[in-house]
Amino acid sequence: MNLLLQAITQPGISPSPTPVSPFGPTLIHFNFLLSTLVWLPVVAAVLIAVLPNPRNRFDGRLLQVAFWTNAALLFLSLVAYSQASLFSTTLQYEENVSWLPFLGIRYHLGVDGLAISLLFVTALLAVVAVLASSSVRERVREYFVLLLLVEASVNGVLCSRDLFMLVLFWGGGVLPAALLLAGWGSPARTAASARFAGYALLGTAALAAAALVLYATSGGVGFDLDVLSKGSLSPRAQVALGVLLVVAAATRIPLVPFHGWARDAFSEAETGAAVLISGLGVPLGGYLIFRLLLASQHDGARLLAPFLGVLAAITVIHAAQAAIRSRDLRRFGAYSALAPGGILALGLAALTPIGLLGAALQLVAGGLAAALMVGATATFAQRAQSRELDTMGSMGGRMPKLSWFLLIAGFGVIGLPGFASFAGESLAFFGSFRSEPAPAFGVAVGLVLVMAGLAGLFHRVIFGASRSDAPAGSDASLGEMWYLGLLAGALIWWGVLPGGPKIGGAVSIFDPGIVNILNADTADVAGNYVETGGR
Amino acid sequence: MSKGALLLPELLVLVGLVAALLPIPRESVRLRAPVLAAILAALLAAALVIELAIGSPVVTLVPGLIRQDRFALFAKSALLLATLVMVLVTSRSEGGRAPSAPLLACLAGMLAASAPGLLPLLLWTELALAAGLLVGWREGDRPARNRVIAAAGAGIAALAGVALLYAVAGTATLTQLAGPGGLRLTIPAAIAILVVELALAGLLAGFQWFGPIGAGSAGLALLRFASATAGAAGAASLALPALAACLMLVAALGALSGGPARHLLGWAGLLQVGWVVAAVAGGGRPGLAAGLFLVGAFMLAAAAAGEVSGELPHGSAGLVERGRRRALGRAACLLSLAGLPPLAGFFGVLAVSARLATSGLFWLVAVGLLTTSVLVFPVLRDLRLAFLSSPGDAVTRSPREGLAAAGALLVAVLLLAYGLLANPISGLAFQGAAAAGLR
Repeated sequence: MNLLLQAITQPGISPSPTPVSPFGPTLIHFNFLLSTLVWLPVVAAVLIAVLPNPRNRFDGRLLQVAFWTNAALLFLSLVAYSQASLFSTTLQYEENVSWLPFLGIRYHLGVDGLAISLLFVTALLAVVAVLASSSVRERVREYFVLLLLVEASVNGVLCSRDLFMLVLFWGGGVLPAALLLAGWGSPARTAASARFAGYALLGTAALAAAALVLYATSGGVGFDLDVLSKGSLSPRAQVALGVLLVVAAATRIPLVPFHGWARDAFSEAETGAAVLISGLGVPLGGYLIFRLLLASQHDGARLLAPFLGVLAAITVIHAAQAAIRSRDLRRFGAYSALAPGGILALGLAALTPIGLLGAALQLVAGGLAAALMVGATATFAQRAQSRELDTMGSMGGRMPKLSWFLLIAGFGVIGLPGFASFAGESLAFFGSFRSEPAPAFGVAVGLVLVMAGLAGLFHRVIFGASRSDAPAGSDASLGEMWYLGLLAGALIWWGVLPGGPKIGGAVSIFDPGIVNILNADTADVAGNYVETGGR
Repeated sequence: MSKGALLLPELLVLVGLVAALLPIPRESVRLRAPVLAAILAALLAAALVIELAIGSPVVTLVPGLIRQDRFALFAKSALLLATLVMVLVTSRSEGGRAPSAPLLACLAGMLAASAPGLLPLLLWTELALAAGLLVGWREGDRPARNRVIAAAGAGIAALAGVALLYAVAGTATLTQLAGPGGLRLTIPAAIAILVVELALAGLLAGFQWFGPIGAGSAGLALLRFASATAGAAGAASLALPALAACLMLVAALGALSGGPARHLLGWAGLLQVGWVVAAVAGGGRPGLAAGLFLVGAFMLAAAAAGEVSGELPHGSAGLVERGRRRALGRAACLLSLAGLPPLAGFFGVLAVSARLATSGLFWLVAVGLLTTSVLVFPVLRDLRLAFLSSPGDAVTRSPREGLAAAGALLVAVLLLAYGLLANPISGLAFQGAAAAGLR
């Protein structure tokens, strides 16, 4: 909470001192940590693909392989996080070798505090997704292969320091994700998959075009982000580049008007897949804007910020009105899961230290909140054996645990105090009300509407009068409790201590090392707003 | 080492061709066909190794007919690898398709790649194309006949175009073509005819069995011709990007129109031809190198794609249940032809895009990226059917396919390695472009 207070009272946030890791810097020491994080899921996917499984007798084993792989990744990312110098702006765990010299492409991996935080969140979401997928009975092998490939692609995006590799991983994840949506879930999943593929490919094409523009303007020397970010483009070229990057990011976050895939993907897919895709969209899209637009194209960022703010406001208002009008529980969850992305976009559009810090927190909190909302509504609908809101009433008595999770998910989405999204949302608002007042007001109105919609939902579904034709639901199983509990726990943990709950008294799980990175990357972007103490 | 040793790969392919043409008694086809395929595969593998080991010298072997250089080294290696894959994946065919046609196409393509003159370049390329088309004709169906007629028409047009070029230039030597100023219009016309022929070949490569080697040879011939005439092809600077864009758009629209899996392969092949033409439009050594790289990727994928997609009486549904390795190989071919990561086609497309971007042809990059994105939809639909659909009760698991399944798996691995380990391949492609006289 100290970070939040500090941010509110002091617009220019000072770097925090570097803590000493309780594990020491070399608890686990090997040179290919990031490669392991990226390629281990691929290796596990290949293993699952080739393991003998006569008459599907060993489906449970396949699930175990996927689970333990993700558990190992979570452990590794936690170790990597705890051993990293989070407050340093230089790259860590760097791997840099020449790969395709004829195009200047390097196998260049590296992370800073922002990326490594998101790696940790990705690993957590992957564990949650596997737990949420325990009810998958058909084509278990293919399901987990695709799930692991999606995870690998996201890790690759977060670790890449070469723009070509980033595009490769970004695009490489589209097909597995689309197949994941197409193969499991409700009968409408095929259309959902096609829509997802369409928007995701549009985003990939935009990102690839942006990469080629940068490559060409740098004289064709290569795709290394360290080199490309130092290039000097004219403001006009930066805007063109920024538009491409915003389109690419907006297809994943998702933001209006690139949100057409989200409703169906979040509401028609298998629960585990829906949780993973909804949870990873916000971090991936936001990270892209942070890394490629704000960190290097400062003029473009300034010129595009108002438009991004408008997109944020429209997204949240649209999400609210669509959720209110929805008569389907899962669709309600899908629509309201769009709101965290809007708040993230508002923080990015603010271009102030506080706003950007809020956006950085929202990368984590928004992803978790969206995943929890989508997961809770999906599990609730599954257990109630109905998605129709009109037939539900007083389900709280019959499904107390799931009702609690639904409440927590709703609170997480709107950012009630005590939830991580509160910290992110507050900082985004504090940071944007001066630089982007109209979009900030629009987002606030949208959030009020979301809140109204949620109140109506809770009243009707959980507390409302019981109906004779209401479905006879059953409460959450142990596995469902685990996955929803992990998401809710993470949201509350980071909500209570956004500045960093400590392990061993020194290392925070999520800490303001990000401030240093933001200051280093976007100092002059955010500089106009800084009054005291900021760089 | 004598100069004659450089012809050893061609000799080995010729031996294989003769062996493939020997008649096999009908009653022992099932037994002997796999043995023959294994022998041919061994011969092709040996030829490939020899080519890579000793093929680097630049030397004229037969004046006016065969000249060895790095372009020829790259082209011949790619042809041998693609033919090797094709021989393996077609080995399960029971008596229907002898591997003589791809071997003939390979031999003709190798000779075309080594041709220093216009006439041998065209004649050997036409023979490589005809080898595949004639087999298609032998199937006896009406569409196959129509395709042969269309291809023959394109071939005659190409011959006429080249003859006109010869008449105007007064020389048939490739390196001397760029000289006379009167060729400003004739060369672009000849290039356009070659492009049309290549497009047709690329499209047909997906539709029938033995087209890919011929289509690859046509692509190599186009690159050789375009590089030799680069200095005089200024008038083509507008026409080539437009042609490339047209091919890409037609491919995307065709793919969206539906049809069986083999048609999808055909449209994907056409898209890659569009990218090859775009590489020529990109110009310079990087453009030609990217084109060479892409033609290699195209041949490798198309060589196996037709066979692994060919005999699906029940459609693609549940293919993975009937043969996991075959389904994997087929998916790899399809994804590579569609230019999706992380397979060979994607890296080829990227190399071409990078060249186009540095040449300022951003609009062509945009067209290419969008059409490639469009092609993903039918590919996605096909993969969903193959991997995520039930094969139905009537379909039983295929019997062991031995060499064919190994070939399908091999092509998947090769397509992955071709992209991820592209460095030595691209290096060879750059040397090939340099040998063609480009800067």
